[in-house]
Amino acid sequence: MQITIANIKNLIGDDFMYKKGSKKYKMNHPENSVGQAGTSPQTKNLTASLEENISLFKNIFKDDQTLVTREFQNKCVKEAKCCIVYISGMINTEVVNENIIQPVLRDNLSEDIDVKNLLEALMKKVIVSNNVKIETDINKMVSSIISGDTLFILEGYDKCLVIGSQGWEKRSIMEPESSKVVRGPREGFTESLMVNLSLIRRKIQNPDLKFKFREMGERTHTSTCICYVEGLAIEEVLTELEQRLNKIKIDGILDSGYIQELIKDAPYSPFETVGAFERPDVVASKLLEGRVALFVDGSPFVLTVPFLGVENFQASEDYYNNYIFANINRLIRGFTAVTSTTIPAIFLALVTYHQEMLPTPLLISISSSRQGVPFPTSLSLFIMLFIFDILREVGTRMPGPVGQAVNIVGTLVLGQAAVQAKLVSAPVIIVTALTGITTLINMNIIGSTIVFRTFYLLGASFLGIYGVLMCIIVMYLHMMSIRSFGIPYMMNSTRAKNHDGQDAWIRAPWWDMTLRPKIYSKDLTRQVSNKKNGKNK
Amino acid sequence: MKKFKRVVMSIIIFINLLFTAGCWNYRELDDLAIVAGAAIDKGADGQYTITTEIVEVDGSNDTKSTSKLVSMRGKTILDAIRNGISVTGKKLYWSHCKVAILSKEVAEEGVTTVLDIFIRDAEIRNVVNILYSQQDTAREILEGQQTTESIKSFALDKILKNETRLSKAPKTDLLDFSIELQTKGTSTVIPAVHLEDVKGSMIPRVAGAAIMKNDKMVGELGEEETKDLLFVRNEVKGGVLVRDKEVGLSAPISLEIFGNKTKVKPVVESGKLKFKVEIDATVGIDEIEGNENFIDDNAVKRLEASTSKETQKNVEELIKKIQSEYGTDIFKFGEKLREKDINKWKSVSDKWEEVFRNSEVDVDARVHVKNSALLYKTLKKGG
Repeated sequence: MQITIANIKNLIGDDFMYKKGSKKYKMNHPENSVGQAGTSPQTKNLTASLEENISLFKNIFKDDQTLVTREFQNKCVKEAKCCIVYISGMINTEVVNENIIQPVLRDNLSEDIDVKNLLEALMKKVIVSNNVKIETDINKMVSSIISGDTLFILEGYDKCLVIGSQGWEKRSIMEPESSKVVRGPREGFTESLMVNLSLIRRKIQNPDLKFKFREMGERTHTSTCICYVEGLAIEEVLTELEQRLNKIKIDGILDSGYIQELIKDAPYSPFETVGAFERPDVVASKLLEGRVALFVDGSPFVLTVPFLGVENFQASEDYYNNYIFANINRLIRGFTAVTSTTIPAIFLALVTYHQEMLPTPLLISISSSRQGVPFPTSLSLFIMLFIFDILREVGTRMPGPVGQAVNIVGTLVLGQAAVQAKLVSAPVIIVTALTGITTLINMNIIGSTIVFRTFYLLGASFLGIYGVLMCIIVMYLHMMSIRSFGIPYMMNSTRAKNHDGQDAWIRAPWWDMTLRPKIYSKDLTRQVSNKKNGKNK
Repeated sequence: MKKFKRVVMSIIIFINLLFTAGCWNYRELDDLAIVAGAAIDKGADGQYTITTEIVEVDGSNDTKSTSKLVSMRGKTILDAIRNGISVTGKKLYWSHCKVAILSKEVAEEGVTTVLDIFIRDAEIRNVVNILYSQQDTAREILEGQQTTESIKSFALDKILKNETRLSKAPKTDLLDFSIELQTKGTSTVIPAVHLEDVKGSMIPRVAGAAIMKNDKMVGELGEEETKDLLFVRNEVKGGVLVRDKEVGLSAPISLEIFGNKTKVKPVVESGKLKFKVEIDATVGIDEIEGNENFIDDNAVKRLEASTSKETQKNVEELIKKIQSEYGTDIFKFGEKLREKDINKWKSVSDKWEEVFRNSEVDVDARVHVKNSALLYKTLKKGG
């Protein structure tokens, strides 16, 4: 079972990863340069005077009335004249009141306090907090205040204490709306980075799980975290990800979607080559397959790379259900992905170019429903599909209470009435409905589905089945040509060799999946074969 | 530069693909006049009259479709068909044409001249059934009354599809026809259709066959004769054998054919060609009108023997009749000989008609009674 990375490289030869000087793997996303973004660096430093220091901070946060300064003094030790600086709303008031102000203010400090080195003594003996450090750099102080820490400034010192006191309102952990399951864990990521990391940490309790923080966004200073399992993740992917992240110079990152698009391999492709998942169990399983995850603060969607085409059809539930049932569901997903793009095009090609391919009774019934319809079939298909997409978009954006109205308009007016008024023929409505339903099954590739469906329909309206086939070939050429972090996008779906195809179009039973996918994990052994465990009993 | 060349080449190839392929004609369904079937007549002036049955689809919710007949005249078939545009205004769409009915004059004159366009044209499919009209004109068949289907051509197509359960007419479509026409030594038969007067309404009925010699019609076969022919051709899959007084019964009984296997074995005996026809049919007693008991082994054996003898006699008579009257090999004996002994076939194929006329045929029919359905004795009053 000792398959080294060098072996894998030999196995797939030139296709593997990034070769130096090769144009193929050059980052081709546009260079981002953000004018003069970022916080303007502070030149003044703290002085020994408390008053000057306070006014320094007030000056930095000029016109920002959320900055709070609170001065106080210990009743016994007069030297302990101090001030805390924080931003209201970002701190946990209880922590600040009970663990910082109260001990310093009330307690009798004189007994065992070293007045000469008061700041350190306060840190070590008085302030009750798990996260305190002495800070001298004014810029770091400012960013600490912004991120919710409390500054503790003492008279006579040109340095201060940074006390961790972050605390703001968070959304609790809920079941993700985007991917619900019947069987499996119900928790989903939240907007808080630390909560998300803890969700992963709880699933993989192993020191090999590494977290590398980095700050992104010149103005927003969004914290992100690269997460991987050491010994599984391939270094090339990791370094490539870091390199691509280094190149991002954008003013703000409000969701992982920004990064997803900025580090994409094929920037003009409708297919995603970076995965985004809302479920901790999914991300944990990706990490265990040797992928690298990127957490972004403020986004419940965690990115994973490399991302291959088949992952669009893998639901977390597949791995928790009986493998036969899981395979049925996966086949349905794959089948509907094909039908949702091709049904309207094939229908159009059959009724306008290849009428001989329709069975006679079907031909007559379609023909009779077309009598008196003024628009050509191609146009009415385009219109109806467009209307369906409008309805879908309305369905996602509309406020809950108006849902009824949309339903009535959508089904009654556009469907029933349009047929009765002879604006479109009934088969067109049926085809539209079928396409719509099958599109909604694969919500994560809905963008590419709509693009290619329109593309096929255009092909069908100009060239019939021939045109559809040409468009399908173009799509496959495109899918075969793109890569995700050096790994061919269609890798697992075209290679059935060894264990690579076990979790692609089908999901093999767990007792058979003894190896990890070869291509993006370093250590291949997933489990020691235990096929016989159940059988011999 | 090399890459540029490659890109340009692939673009050129791609564009060429677009223009060299077919499927250019975008047509909406409602612009098509769907032809369900056609009847071809030839007038005294040498002009063809083609009557097409066109499916009339109305837009109402009522799914029942009707048909109308459109007749066109022209010097050739295509001429007549194209003249149809001046009548219908729509282009006739032939891909769903199911039957082509030929009149007696057309069939006697030679079928290939008429069917050439049907086989040659890309739009018309090979599954079109050829029918021979026993009426004065072919058009009359399409003018007949409708029964189950509202479109008569589709009804005829259905009849021919289910004809295997009846075995009273062969089924010959364009593909069979063109194959059999081009095979040396084999002659084809075309199912015959006539109008039957059922309580005043004239209903098309498919029964019997027209015997073809090359592509010309030379004679007709009756229903029972056709069944015997199909026995020899090994095309019987079902049907009913009615046995009556001729086999010594007091009342008729019906035997349903469950299956049949006929083997034709060409034998060369002292230079003379001989064909052994072995018919092996399995039947069941499905109807007994009298009250004879057939549960008795002897009775069944008697019935089997008499039925076998009767079948054998009929087939022998038919073969003799064809040999002497027409000399056209509709039994596909020549094909069997070619399969069995290619050298012998090569030596006789040039004068096959003569050889066929003179070859000896030995018929051996065996009918097995399998069961008597749900009853094991006859229904008797108070019995």
